[in-house]
Amino acid sequence: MSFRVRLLLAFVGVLLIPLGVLAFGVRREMDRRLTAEYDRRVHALADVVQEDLRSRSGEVAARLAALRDELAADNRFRLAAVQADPAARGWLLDYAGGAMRVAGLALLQVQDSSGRILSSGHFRNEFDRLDPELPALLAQPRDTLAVVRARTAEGDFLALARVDSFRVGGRHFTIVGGAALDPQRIGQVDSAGGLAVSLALPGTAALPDQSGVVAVLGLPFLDLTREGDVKLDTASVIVTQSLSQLEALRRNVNAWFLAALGLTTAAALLAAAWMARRVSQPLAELARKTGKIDLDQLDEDFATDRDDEIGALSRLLGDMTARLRQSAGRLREAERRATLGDVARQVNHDIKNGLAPIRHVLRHLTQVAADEPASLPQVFQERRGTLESSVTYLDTLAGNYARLTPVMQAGPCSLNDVVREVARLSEGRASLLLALASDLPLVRGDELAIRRVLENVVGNAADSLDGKTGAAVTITTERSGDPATPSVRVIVADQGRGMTQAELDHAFDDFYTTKERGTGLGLTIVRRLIQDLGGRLRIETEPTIGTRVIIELPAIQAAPGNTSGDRA
Amino acid sequence: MPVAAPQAFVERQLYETLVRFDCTGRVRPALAQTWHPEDGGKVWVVTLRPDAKYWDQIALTPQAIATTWAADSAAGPLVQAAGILAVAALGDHEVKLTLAAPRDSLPRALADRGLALTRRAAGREPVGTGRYRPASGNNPSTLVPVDTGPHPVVRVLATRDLRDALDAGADLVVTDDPGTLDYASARAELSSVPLTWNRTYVLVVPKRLGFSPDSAWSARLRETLARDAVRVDARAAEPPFPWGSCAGPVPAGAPQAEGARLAYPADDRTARDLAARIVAIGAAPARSIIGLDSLALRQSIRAAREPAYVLSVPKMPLIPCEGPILWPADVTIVPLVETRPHAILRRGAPRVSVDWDGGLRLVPEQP
Repeated sequence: MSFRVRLLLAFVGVLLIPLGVLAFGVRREMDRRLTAEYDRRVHALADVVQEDLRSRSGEVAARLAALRDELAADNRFRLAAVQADPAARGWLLDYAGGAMRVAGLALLQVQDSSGRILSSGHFRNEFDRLDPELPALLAQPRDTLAVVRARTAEGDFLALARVDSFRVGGRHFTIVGGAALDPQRIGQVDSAGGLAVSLALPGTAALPDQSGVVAVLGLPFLDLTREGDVKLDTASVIVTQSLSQLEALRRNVNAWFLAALGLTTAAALLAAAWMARRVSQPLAELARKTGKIDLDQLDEDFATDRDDEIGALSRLLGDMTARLRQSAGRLREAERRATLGDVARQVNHDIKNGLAPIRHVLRHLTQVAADEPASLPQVFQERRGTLESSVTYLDTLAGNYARLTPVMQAGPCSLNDVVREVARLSEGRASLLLALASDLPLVRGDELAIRRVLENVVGNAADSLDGKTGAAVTITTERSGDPATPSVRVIVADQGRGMTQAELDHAFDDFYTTKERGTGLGLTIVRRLIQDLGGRLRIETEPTIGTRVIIELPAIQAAPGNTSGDRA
Repeated sequence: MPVAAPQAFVERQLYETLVRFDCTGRVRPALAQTWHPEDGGKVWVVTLRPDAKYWDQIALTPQAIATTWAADSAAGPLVQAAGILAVAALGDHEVKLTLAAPRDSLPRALADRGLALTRRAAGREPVGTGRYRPASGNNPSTLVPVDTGPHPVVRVLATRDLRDALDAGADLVVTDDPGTLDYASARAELSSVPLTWNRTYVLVVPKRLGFSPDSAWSARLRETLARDAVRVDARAAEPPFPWGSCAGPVPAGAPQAEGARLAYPADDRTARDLAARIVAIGAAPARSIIGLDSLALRQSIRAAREPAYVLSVPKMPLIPCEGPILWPADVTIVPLVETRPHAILRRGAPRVSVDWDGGLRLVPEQP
């Protein structure tokens, strides 16, 4: 996993984890508070329902008591129910209907002690039907209402009923009365707020959605429509608070948090990508430069103006490279000295080889001069060829050794003068422009080596123009470095064909060339010479635009009155 | 003369039939003066009374009778039910009625109120031949005598509670409401007269349920219903029952599941009471009752949508098998109770006569 990816993940994590914790906390607190509020509302409503039932029970009981007293005192009832007077029977049959309406009840039924219905208000013509269980079952839950499913001619209905009893003529009668119970009206309580009251009868309805807040009130229940099988059961008044609003709120919060999370993630990714790029790019550049460093290529530039850790690292690498350069120079010098002995022995051997014939000829001539002086000219003429060939051999040998190991004569050198000399010698090859600094300090180095370097570089620049019309080679000199380590920079810029990155990567390889008749050793020798001079070489190039070769050489600390590299 | 009576009472004063059937069961002249059979009873010749004319003094002609019966959509089925094939004029006062088959009882059929003779007038109440006509246009709340004479003006009182009509001085109130009758009995200036048993209530159930109208159980049911279930003057239904040969087509609908509803005419309280009692004691395959208007009831019967019906039919129709008695073929008709209205008359009020069907007719005062 790359450093950039890790940085990216770290950024995203740092932003998302707190946001997730916040979302979780808000949702949990919202759930807790709303559920507590719902619970309070449900139980408050359950209390109201219970109080309402208690109140209605009292009202029904009071009305029944009034009807009971009126009926016990009514002679027509006595005649019909006790004396079985046929003339009063019609009145009794119609009694409950009228009394029920007057009392504001929905159910009214008068029975004798055998359970025979004497008069029914809600179902006038069910008279004489036996229903002995009803009063007994209704009397079981004392002082409370029971839910009764009663029957009319048109159908069934629900009522909240109570029972009362009285005695007339020594006979026991019961009177059952009740108020209508409309399950639909019950269910309409605050339906907008999700609060609802419903009635669940045995075997007809299950508890509502269990995910809501629920309170259940039990009520005695009698199903009078099940003739012959009436038993006391339990109906439930169920108060529920739907959680749909809470769910909707949760969905909204989720949506908003997801939106915030999405936006934050996108922003975090962008910011992280930007930051990672900012942080990793200089490091990657440093890694790239560092990867190119070896003993033969120690001219990478780690100069930077950053004042952060990367700047410090870059400077450290620059210092390290500088020390490596010095070490490489010393190493090369040691190597040169080590190889000097071998060369000396070779030279000794070669010279001895060259001198041996001469020595033989000289001994021969000496002997001839002593033994036969007269023939000395003739013998000399005969051995002259040997002498000349030996001398030629030695001369050639000397030339060869001279080319093999140039001798560096480190001394003050005016770079501007060398540039002018090289420009003079290169006239005719290309259009040359000079931009020479006037106060250029002297450099320490071998003028001949510097000249060889510039001849190579300017020659390459001239070749790269390739006859391009109007193109020129510009040679610029300028100060560089800092007061503690001053240096001089010479820049050879051309407007030639430039180099590709691949070409640049191989530019300093031995025997690598893009010219038809090149040796591929020019830039290798140039770099070696500059390193020997303690300088640095850098190439900036762009295909079809041109190339800039930048050479920096250490300057001599200026002495008062002799600061210019220009000589008169 | 203020009265509070059904619309039928008003119509009986406005519109006449050819003959009328009095409470003794005799055919009396009305628009027809005489009638006699010909061709063995297959043709009847009816002679109109010479002064038979509409309120607007246009004479009633035999041709007008044919036109009225042909044009009146209500009269058409009755004419057909009476067996009349053709109506033809014989001179200015005689009408020849040709029957599909000889029928001795044709004069009685001509007394059916559906065959009353009227002349249609656009946008107005039909013009009749009775002794009374509406005082103005389409307002039949006040009836005035057509001829000058000792006929009182009849003012129809419209009150929801008939006791209010009695208190307002009504000379005649026709009702079956026990409360009104009870109130009238407490007033010395009023007398209550029971009219003819004119309606029979029946239970219509599918034959497959095995009801027997003649069983002892049915007889007990009739007694119980008449005594306790209804709140009008009622008695157990007694034969003859006129629907014996009136079976109609088998209903197209499939038989309904038992345990459904017992249907009754929604505007008939006595039918509702009977239906409720039948359901209460489980005497019919129904658990509840339902009131239907006349059209829905007729459609329901024809389609056999409900397993049972409680209906009322005329006790003794002048034209058998006419009107609502159009049973499906596969039903049993169990007679239940028959009822009658009462006429409450103020002492000293103009005299009224009673027709066979219990309808009241004002008797003209003798000069």
